[in-house]
Order: sequence, then structure tokens, then C-alpha cells
Amino acid sequence: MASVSTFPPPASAPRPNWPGTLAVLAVALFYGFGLTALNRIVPGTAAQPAGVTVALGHGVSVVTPAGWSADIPKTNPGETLALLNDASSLVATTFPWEGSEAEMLERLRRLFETTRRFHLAGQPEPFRTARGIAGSTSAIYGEHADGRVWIGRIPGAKFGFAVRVRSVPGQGAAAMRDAVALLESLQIKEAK
Amino acid sequence: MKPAPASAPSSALPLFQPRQPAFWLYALLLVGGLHTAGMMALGGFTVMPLSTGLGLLVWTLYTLPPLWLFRKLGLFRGQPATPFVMAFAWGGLGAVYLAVPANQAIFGLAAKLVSPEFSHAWGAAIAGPSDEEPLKLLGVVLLLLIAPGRFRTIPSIMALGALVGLGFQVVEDYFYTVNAALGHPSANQIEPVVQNLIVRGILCGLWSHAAYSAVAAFGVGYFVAHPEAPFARRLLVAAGSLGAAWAMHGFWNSPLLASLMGGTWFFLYLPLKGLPVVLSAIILWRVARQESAA
Repeated sequence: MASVSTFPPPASAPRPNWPGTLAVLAVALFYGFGLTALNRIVPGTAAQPAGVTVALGHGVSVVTPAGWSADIPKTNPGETLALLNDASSLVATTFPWEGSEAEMLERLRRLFETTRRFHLAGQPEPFRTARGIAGSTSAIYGEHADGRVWIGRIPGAKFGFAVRVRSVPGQGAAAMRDAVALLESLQIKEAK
Repeated sequence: MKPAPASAPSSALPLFQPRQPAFWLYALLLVGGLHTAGMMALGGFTVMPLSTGLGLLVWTLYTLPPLWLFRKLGLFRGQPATPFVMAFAWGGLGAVYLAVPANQAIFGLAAKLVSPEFSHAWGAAIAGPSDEEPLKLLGVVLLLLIAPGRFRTIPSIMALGALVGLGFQVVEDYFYTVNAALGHPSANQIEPVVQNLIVRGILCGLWSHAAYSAVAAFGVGYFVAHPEAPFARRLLVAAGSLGAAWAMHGFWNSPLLASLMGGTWFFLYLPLKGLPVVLSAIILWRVARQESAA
């Protein structure tokens, strides 16, 4: 039977377009996985000198412990100090907070359990540093790491602070000592 | 002058094409996007359930006025809803699925290769346009591959771009709302939704992804609609349109003109950054319509 030319063309199945689809697949793979792989390959740590005072914003500062490297992608200057060593990570940060300390702890618990897959062990306990900075602390545990978090409000400001240490289970004793030292180094300058 | 139909009649090739590999690639990436969006919403519902639920409602309703506007502008003329639903779904799921890890990677690379300060200031201006513009446009290309010949005019392809952009925009806004709720400095769950609706939806919504993607799709439309033109010119127009969308998106995300925010001229900040985007999309749309009608 002779074919009849029509416009628009009849709704028949077109030939599979493999080259175009493979080109799209290549772009999708580059963005979805290639960039992530590249980011993993590029080293993301830098030697972090010990004894350096690092400002975390809102008058808060801490002193870096020895033997740690800066976790560059997770560092946010003036807000978050992120450190790494072989088996542990140590983070000190400030964040806006206008609610009560109990609400802060509840938010922390939910965030840890939902987005970071960590659990707070038992009820948080109060802590106070030698400089008089107070807050709550709790042990944390997960499938691949455990550690501790200290959290509190910055007096007179609508901000909070947190220090968190996390280690491969059984390898965190030294990291815990460094985290306590970092917490003890925490200073808060009162706003003028 | 009677405007030409924006696209081929609905009797053209259906978009359910199981023999087309592009159809399955589209479906696979949509499933990935569903997983990403589902996990994000699940986390949000666990930590800030009211914010997450209210945000879902607010951003769903937010989608209606732009759809009405697009209809008034004639974007949907000559096509049933299916291709536009598919374009919207690509923007909100497929493109988001690929953009989330890509953006994180570029932020990380910027911090490592330059500095954390640089990443903080310029990361969004680099990652946003470099990842999101091509990824949104991939959805338009996939739809063209799924049903070749169905979209033969520049306006029909710009309409697909606008819908891809709108889908991306509302899902991104929803993600931002949930993230803002997770980091909100009090237990109030309504505030972060209202704040995001005002800032991202009302103040910034007009000059956002729908406009960028319509501009980028103009080039693909020209490439498809002008097979008689020299290949180099078609490629140049396609690349130029994507480049224009990239530049406008980058300018919007950049800290340039940020000093205006704290000064007397703060009210000029958003129009100065956003008007070029909307005007470009409108001008290109008019050009495309006139050319199709000729």
C-alpha cells in the first residue's frame, strides 16, 4: 500500500533515540555522581595549628587543640569550626536561638535522631566550665560512631553554642579529652 | 495577527513511549527525585511536622497563580496537560535529584580549592546556575527525545522550559522552607513557613527558575525549530540562551549589589537583580510567538 504524506505526521512510535539518550545520561551522571566523586578525591583537610583562638561569632571563641586538621568544607568562618583526625570529628559552632534551653535540647534530639541518625543517651545533664559557661551535655551514639555533645545559650544574646565530638567506637578517649579542653577554652565576650 | 498554536496538535505523538530509552531514563530519574523529596519531607515531618505539612500546602497553592498566568500568556495552547505535568515533574523531582548532590559537591570543591570564605560568599553563585540550569534543561531535551516532532515551535519548547523551571522552583522553595524550619531559632513552626513564603515566594518568585528555564529553553527551541539554519548558528543560539540563563542566575545568587541591602536604595536591590530575568523571558517569548506566527 502506498504511503500518504500527512502533516502533522501520524502518531506512530518513533525509532529509539539512543545517541541522544546516552548524551543526556552522560550529563546526568556527571552532575549526579561525577561531581560528588571529584569532591571526594580532592583533599579537604588542612593542618590546624594548636593554640589558635578561633572566633565563632556573637562574641564566642574557642582555642584549637593539638593534633587535628581543619575539615574545610564543613568550616564556616565566623560560625563553625570543624576539625578531623584519624578516628574522630570535633565541631564547635554557634547558631541563632530564641527559645528555651529545654526546647533547644528537644530540637537537638530530634535533629540528631532524624537527620544524623544519632541518639542522645539518657537525660541530658547540666555542665559548667571553669569560666562559668553553663549548659547541658549528653552522650551520643550511632551505628558507626559515638561521642558527646555540649549545648547552651549565650547569655544576653539570641544565640546558642554547641560542641560535638564523634569517634569510631572504642577510639575516642583522646578526642574526648580534646573536646573537653576545647569546651573549657570557650569564651564569651559580652556584647557592648 | 492570529497567534500560531504553541505546539503540535494533541493528536501528535503520545508521551508514553516505552520503546524510547529516553522515556525510561526520565522515569528512572523521577523515581530518584521522589526518593530525595520523600526523605527530606520525612525528616521534616519528624522534627518540625507542622512546618513541613504547612509548607507542603503553601507551596502547592503557590503553584496555582503562575499556572494561571502561563495559561493567560498562552503557554499551554495546543497541548493537553500531560507534557506540562511531565515537565513540571522533571523540574521538581528529576532535576532536584541530580542538583542536590551536585550543589553540595561544588560548594565543597569551592571551599577546598579556594577557601571556605569564598565558598560561603560565592558558592551559590557558582553552583546554582552551573548545576541547575543544565539539569533543568535536560528535562526539556528528554521530553523532545521521548516524543520527537511533537514540539516543533520555539514557544512550545519555551513553555516546557517554564514548567520545568516552575517545578524546580516550588520544590526548591519547599526544601528551603523545611531546612529553615529545622534550623529555626525557636519552637515556632509557623514563622519559617511565612518567612519563606514572603521572601522566596513573593519577593523573589517572579524572577526565578521559571524565567531562567524559559530563557534557556528558547535556544533549544530555536535549535529544533530551525533545521534549515546552519548547525553552528543553531548551536550558538542554544548555548547562548543557556549562557544567558546561567549569567542571570549567577548574578542573582551572587553577593554583587549586596551593599544596597543596608542602604537608602535597598528597595532597588530585588528589581535591579530580578527585572533583567523577567524582561528577558518576556521579550524572548514575544519574539518566539511572532516568529511562529509569521
